[in-house]
Amino acid sequence: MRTGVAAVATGVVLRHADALRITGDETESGHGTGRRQAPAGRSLALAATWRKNDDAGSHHAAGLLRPAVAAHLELPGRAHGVVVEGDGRLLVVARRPGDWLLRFDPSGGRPPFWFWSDGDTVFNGHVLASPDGRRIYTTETDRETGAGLIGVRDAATLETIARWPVGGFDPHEIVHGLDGALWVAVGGIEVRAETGRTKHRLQAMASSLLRLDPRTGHETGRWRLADSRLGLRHLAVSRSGRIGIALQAEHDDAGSRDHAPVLAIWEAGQGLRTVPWPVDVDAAAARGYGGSIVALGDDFVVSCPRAGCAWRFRGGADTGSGTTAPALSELAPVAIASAIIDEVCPLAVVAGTRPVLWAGGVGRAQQVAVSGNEDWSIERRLQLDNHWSVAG
Amino acid sequence: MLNRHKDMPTDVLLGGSSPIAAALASLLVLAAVAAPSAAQAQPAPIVAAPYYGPEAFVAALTVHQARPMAARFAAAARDLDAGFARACVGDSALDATARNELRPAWLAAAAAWEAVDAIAQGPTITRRSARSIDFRPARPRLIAAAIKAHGHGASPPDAAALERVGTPAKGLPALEWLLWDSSAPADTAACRYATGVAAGVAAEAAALATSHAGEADRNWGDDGEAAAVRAAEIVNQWLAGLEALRWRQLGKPLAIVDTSGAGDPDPHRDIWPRPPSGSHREAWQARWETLRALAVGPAPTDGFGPQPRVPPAIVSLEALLRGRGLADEADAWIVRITAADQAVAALTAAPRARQDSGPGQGAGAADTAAGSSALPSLPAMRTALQTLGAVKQFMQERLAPSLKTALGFSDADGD
Repeated sequence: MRTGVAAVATGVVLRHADALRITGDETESGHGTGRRQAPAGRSLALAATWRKNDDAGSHHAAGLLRPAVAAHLELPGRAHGVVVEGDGRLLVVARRPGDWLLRFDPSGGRPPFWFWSDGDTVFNGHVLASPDGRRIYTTETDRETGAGLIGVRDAATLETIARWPVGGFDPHEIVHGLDGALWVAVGGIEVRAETGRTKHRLQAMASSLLRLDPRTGHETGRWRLADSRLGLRHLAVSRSGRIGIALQAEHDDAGSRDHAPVLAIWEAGQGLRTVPWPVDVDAAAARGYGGSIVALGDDFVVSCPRAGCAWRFRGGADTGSGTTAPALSELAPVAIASAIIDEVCPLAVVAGTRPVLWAGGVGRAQQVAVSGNEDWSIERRLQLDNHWSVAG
Repeated sequence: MLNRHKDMPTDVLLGGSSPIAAALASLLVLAAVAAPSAAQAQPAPIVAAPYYGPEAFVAALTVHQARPMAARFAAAARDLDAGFARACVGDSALDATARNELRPAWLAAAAAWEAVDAIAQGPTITRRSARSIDFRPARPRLIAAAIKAHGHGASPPDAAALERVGTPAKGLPALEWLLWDSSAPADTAACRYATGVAAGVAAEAAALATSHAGEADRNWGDDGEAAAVRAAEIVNQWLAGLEALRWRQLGKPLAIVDTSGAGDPDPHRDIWPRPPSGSHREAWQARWETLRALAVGPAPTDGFGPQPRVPPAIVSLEALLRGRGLADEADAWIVRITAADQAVAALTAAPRARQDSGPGQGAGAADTAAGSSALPSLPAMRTALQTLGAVKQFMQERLAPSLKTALGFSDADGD
């Protein structure tokens, strides 16, 4: 292990919570602001979904945060994945078992377009647009058989063109790899239409990482971890083409769950394997639950909302400008955002020569940047959902 | 044992494995809400609230709710099966007369099933009954294909033959379509196929009743861990049943109506609970009555003396709360349930918005004797949706945590 890596493996926590108190101030639009705002002229917006509780009850919405709510649309229930399309519209999908897809123009130029499930399948919470903009892929579950599917949809109408089997239960996130393939995290837990999100037969859980031909849907590869109780759920692709998978442990005993790894890596020629916790890191600090994942150069960042922190698996001292991907054995976790954000989960990266990470949690967003720090405070009553995307 | 509020048991109440049976007879004796003033000579009234562990909770539910409901469904399904067997004897067709005669039996079976499915626990889950007999929406194209494949034999298709038919072409929804939709085939083959499907529903209902009877005969006190698991499942499935009513049967159709910009909603669209018959009110009512019966109600025992293995009536969620000294929570729960109860009652009582069912649909005004084809007003449905949402929120945020039950259906859990 390189010296630089060894240094970060001790668990450096970036703390600047003192500068990040939430004021609870109200803006003219009624949304809370923090003491520090994004620099003037900055156009950063994050497409997100959230829940808000008020006297009238609980409301779900999707929209843009800058960090005040710049646009929003009320949703009929909790959403999960959100994708920003090339024209700036948002594709939002209901949390599993979901029955709607939404295309929403935050500029207000076009009316929202709702697509309702035909009843044969339910949505599993993630959606992906093809690079050419002609197709939309959704992870779905057949209501009759429980089988996992990829819904291939016409991008204009969102109507189903084809359904591709994934050979297992509960496909969750889907991404494009640098190799042009579609990569699917197949959760492998049996769920049934009549029992919603209840997990059945965990002892038979069979999670896998699946690679599909994007033209035909044919399986071109499948990998499993040795520990069958580690669920593969969220995906990110690094600069060098590695696939990072955020894991969620489903062991029966709390000890195994809490100490389980939260990151697995797939690499060409190397296959799939977990990234173990170093001996000097308290693995329980992640609680065995990865909520979201992004790639930051060749690093991966996994948020662990149940532990209230995010872990950056670092390969080098300066990951923003490095040109060589570090060896898997050199990926070492660094806790970030702990003590700063409660229930940290949504992660997004602002691309650039020095990519910038945005992590969100209860009541605030925390930018953890390679080249400095900036933070947003988000309206206190908003409870962000698991994922968000950079929208501008 | 008499305890003051501060001595409320703190062990895991529904999700744990401690031997809570011993605590069955324990009592919480709570002072009345209002403290006596100096001028009052009388001490504060004492309110006894028996404590129930998961063994008593599960035993009461299996005996007093699940078993009789499953038995009622089995009887209703048997009647429906017999009705089809009579109507479709020989080369009979499923003509208008036969349909009219069979519709009340279908409505009775559907209501009985809805009551069972409202809290789908134990055998209803393990047998996957909903999947096998109530997959919605029915698929007319698949039903027509199944009739072609299995309706032309000398006798109705048997269970083995129906194994090869997909669930969207079987069960109660398929029978509903055949009985109400004017575009459904009505020839001898359709009648014969429907008879086989009705026999399949009756067989599943009978098996379900047998299984639930076995659960009711079980001594849950012998296996506290199993009782705790089942109790947690029941609480979860209560919420799942509420969500089916709130969202799948009411909220989603309303959202589709709202987002489609269409005017008066068509009660025969697939988005509603029972499109062919339009008997949506009956579906909502049957489901809610089961949910309400478990939600609120007095403690079935006074808690003094030896406790029966099976309480003499359902142990409601309200009684669980009170037994844990959570009278304020129980009162708040009642407020929400009462509001929802009134709103759901208004759905049933609301004036019929329309009587015609549009072209291509078989129910129509003439068929309302066997199920209303109209919908309540949109404001009435929105009010019901809102009040049911408040119940859901309370269950997630206050009731389940009070009972220390992890919810698999919660809005708050991850993914």
